Amino acid sequence: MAWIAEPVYQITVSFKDETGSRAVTSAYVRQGVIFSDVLIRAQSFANTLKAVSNAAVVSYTVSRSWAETEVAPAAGSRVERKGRLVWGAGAYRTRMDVPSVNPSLVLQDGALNRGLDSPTMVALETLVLADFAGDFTDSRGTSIDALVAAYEAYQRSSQNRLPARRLER
Amino acid sequence: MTISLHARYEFVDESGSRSETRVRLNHNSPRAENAALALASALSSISDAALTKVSLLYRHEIPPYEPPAAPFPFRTRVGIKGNNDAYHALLPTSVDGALQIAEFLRDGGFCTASGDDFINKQEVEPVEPNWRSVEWGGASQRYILVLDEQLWRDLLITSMSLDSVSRRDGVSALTGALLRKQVYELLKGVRLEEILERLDEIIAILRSRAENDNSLFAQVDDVEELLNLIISLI
Repeated sequence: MAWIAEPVYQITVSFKDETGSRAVTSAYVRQGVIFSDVLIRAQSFANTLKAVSNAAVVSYTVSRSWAETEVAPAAGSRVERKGRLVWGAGAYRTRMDVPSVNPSLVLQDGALNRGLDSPTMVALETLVLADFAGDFTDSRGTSIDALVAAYEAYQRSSQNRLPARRLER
Repeated sequence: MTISLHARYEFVDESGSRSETRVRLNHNSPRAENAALALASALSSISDAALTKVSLLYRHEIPPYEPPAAPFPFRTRVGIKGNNDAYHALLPTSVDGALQIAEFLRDGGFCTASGDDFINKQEVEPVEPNWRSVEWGGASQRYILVLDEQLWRDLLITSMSLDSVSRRDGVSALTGALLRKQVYELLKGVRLEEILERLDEIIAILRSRAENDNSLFAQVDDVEELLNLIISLI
C-alpha cells in the first residue's frame, strides 16, 4: 500500500447559535509542524473565533489524513456486507465493522475464521491486543483487551439473522 | 472538557459505494499514529473493498458553559491568497471580526488547503444574511416563504407580542399559533425587498391594532380580518 500524507493538518471549529443551528469553519497548518504546536494553534484559532462571534464554540477537531493513490476494489465487493468484530474493553463491548469483509474469511456458519489457518485475522487480533496493546479503546476510552466475536453481518441484519455461533470462538 | 482521538477508515467497493469505520484511540499514546496506520493495513487485508483514506481526528469538545447570545447575525466570506491556491471560509462573524481572523491566520502560521504560504492579501466580504424558509400548505397548495434572519426575528417578535396580547385576552395558545401562521401567509407572494422596505410599517400596523383594539384578538376571525386589511395595504 502507498499511503500519501495530505500536506496539511485541518483544523475545524464548530459553532452553535441560540437556535441550535450549527456551523463549522476550517483552517490549515502545514505538515511538519510538531503536533503539540498544531494543537496550540487550534486552541488559539478557536479562542479568536469565539472573540469575534456571538455563537458558542462547542468543539474543535484537528485532523491529519493519508490517501491511497491506487484504489482497486475487488470484483463483487459490497460495503453493505460487514465483517463485524466485537471487542471487549473491561466489562464493556465495542464494535468495529469492516466493510466488504473478504468472503474467504467467512466460515459456513457465518463466523469469521480466527484460526491459525487464517493469518490475516490472526494478524489483526495480534495488532490490536498485543502489538499496540492499550492504544485502541472503546467509546469511553477503556482499552480493548479481547476479541469477543467476529462474524459476517449485513447492514440490515436483524438479530435473528445473525450467525448462531457468533459469540463463540 | 473532553478530548478524544479517532482513526477514520474510508472504503469504496466495486460499485462505487462508500463506507467508513471509526476506531477510538488513546489520545495520550505517543504511538497512536503508528497504531492507526498499522490497523489500516490489517483492515485492508481482511476487506476486499479498497481502503482509500485514513484520517486521524483529534477532537476537543468545549462544554457549553454559557448559551450563545443570538442566532448567527452575520456571515462573512474570507479569502486569503496563497501562491498557488487560496483559503476560503465562511465565518459566523462581522466584516471586522473576519478581518481579525484573516490577520490571525496570516500571522499565526496557517496555510492554504494545499499547504501554500499565505501572501499578504486578503479579501473579506459580507455575504447574504442567513435565510430561513417557512413552508406550509396542504395537498393542493403549498407556500414557501424565504426570510432573512433579521426579518425572521422581527416577525417572530411581532407575532409573539400578538400572541401575548391574545393570551391576555384569554384566547388559547392555538390562536397564537394560527396568528403566526397567518403572519407568514400575509407575506406570501410579496417580494423580499418590498417586505424589507415596508417592515416597519407592517409591524407598526400590527402593534397599533394590538394596542388599540384588544377585543380584535378575541376571535380568530377578527385576526383574519386584520390580516386581510394589512394584505390590502401591501
